[in-house]
Amino acid sequence: MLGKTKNKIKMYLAWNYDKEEEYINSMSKKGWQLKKGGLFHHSYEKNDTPYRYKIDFNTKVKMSFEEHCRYISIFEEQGWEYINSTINGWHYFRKLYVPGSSEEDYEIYTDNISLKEMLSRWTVIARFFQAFYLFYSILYISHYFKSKNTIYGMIALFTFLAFILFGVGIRIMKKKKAHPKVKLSKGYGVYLLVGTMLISFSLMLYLAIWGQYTYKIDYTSQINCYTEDFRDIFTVEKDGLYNLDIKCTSDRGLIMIQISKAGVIIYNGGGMGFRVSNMLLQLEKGEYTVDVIYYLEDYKEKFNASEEKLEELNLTGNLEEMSEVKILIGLKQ
Amino acid sequence: MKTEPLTESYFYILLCLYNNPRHGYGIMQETFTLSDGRVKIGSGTMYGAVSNMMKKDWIVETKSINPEDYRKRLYQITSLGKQILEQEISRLKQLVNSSIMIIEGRVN
Repeated sequence: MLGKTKNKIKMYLAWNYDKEEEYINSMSKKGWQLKKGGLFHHSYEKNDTPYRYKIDFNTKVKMSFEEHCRYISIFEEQGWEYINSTINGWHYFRKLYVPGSSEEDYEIYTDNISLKEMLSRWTVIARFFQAFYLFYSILYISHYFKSKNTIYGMIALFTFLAFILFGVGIRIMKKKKAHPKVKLSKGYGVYLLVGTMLISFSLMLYLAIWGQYTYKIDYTSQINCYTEDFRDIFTVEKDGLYNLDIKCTSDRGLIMIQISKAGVIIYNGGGMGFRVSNMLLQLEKGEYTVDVIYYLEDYKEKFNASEEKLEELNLTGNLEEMSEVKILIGLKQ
Repeated sequence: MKTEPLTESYFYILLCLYNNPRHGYGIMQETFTLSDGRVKIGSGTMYGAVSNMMKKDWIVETKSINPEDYRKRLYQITSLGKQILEQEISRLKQLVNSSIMIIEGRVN
C-alpha cells in the first residue's frame, strides 16, 4: 500500500486553521497521511499508521536558519515530526498517535497566553490587509461618486467586503482558546474571501491596463516651421461626465490643443509644454475634433511677441531644424 | 523592579533551570513530574516562552559539552532570570500567607 499518493486542491481560511487540522486528522484516520500541506494544495500518502496533525503560525522563524532549527528541535524533542512550511509562515507537524492516549497530549499550545501570542502574530498581518482594503474602498467610492462609473463602484464594494471578511477573521481568531473542541466544517467561506480579493484585484487591473478610455492618443512627432497642423476625430458614445487628461511636451514653439464639436470649442489650451489632469467635462454623444496647432515662425506675427517671449519659447534659432513634440490625450469616464 | 506574575509555563521553565541547564524535553518532563501531571508544556508554548525569555535575557542557549548530544540545545538560567524567579516565589509566598491569615482566622 505504501507509495500511493493523492493530491488535493483545497483552500482554507487562516482563522479556520484548527478546522483544517481536524480535516487532516480525519484524512489520517482514513489512511491518508499528509505529505505536504499548503494553502491551496495538499498531498497525501497512503499509510495506515495514524498520526495527529498540527498547524502552527510563525513568520519569524522563517527569517533565520538558526531560529528555524531551534524551533523545529523544540517540536522534535516532544515527538513531533516536521512536515513542511508554507511561504507565509504556516508550519505543519505530525506526531504518531498512540491508541488510548488523550487528545491533550497532542496540544502544542497548552495555555491561553501562548496561544494568543501565536494568534496575534497573524492578526497583526491581517490588520495590514484590512487597512489596505479599506484604503482602496474609500479611494474607489470617491472615484465612483465623481464619475458614476459602475466599475469603480464594484471595486469599492468588493474591497469593502474583503475588509469586512478580514475583520470577521480577526474576531474569530481573538475568540480562540487553548484546549478547544473543534468541529469539522465545509469551509466555503474561503472561496468567498478569495473570490472577493480576486474580483477586486482583477477589476483594478482591468482599469489600470485598459482604463475606460473613450478616446486615447499617444502621439510623438518631429516638427519644424513647415509642419502642418494635426487633426484627429473621435466619437463619444454616450452622454456623461468625462475626465480629460493632457500631457504635452515640446522643445520649442507654442502648441495649441483644441477639442471641439460642430465648431463649438469645449477645450482650448496651449503652451510649450503643459499638463491637464482630471479636468471634468460634461460631454454629449457625437463626433469631436481634436486640433493640434503648431506656432513656430508664425508665432511672432500672430501674437506680436517680444524678443524675450521668443527666447522663452526657444524660437530665435533656425526654425527649419526639427524638434520633438509629444502629446498624450486621454478621455475617460 | 516590578514585574507581571509569571505564567505557570514560564515559572516552571525557570524553576527547572534553576540548578542546571536542560534541554526543552527535560524541562517539559520535569515540569510534568513536579506538578503531578497537571502542567504540560506543549511545543508551541515552549518555543514561545523560551524565545521570549531569551529576548528578555532571563535564559541563554548553550551547547552541550557531551559530544553525543552536542546538537541538542541546552538552556541555562541567567542571574536576571534567577532574580525574576525569586521575586515571583516571594510574591506567591505572600499570596499564600495572606490566605492562611484570613482563612485560618489569624486576622479578622
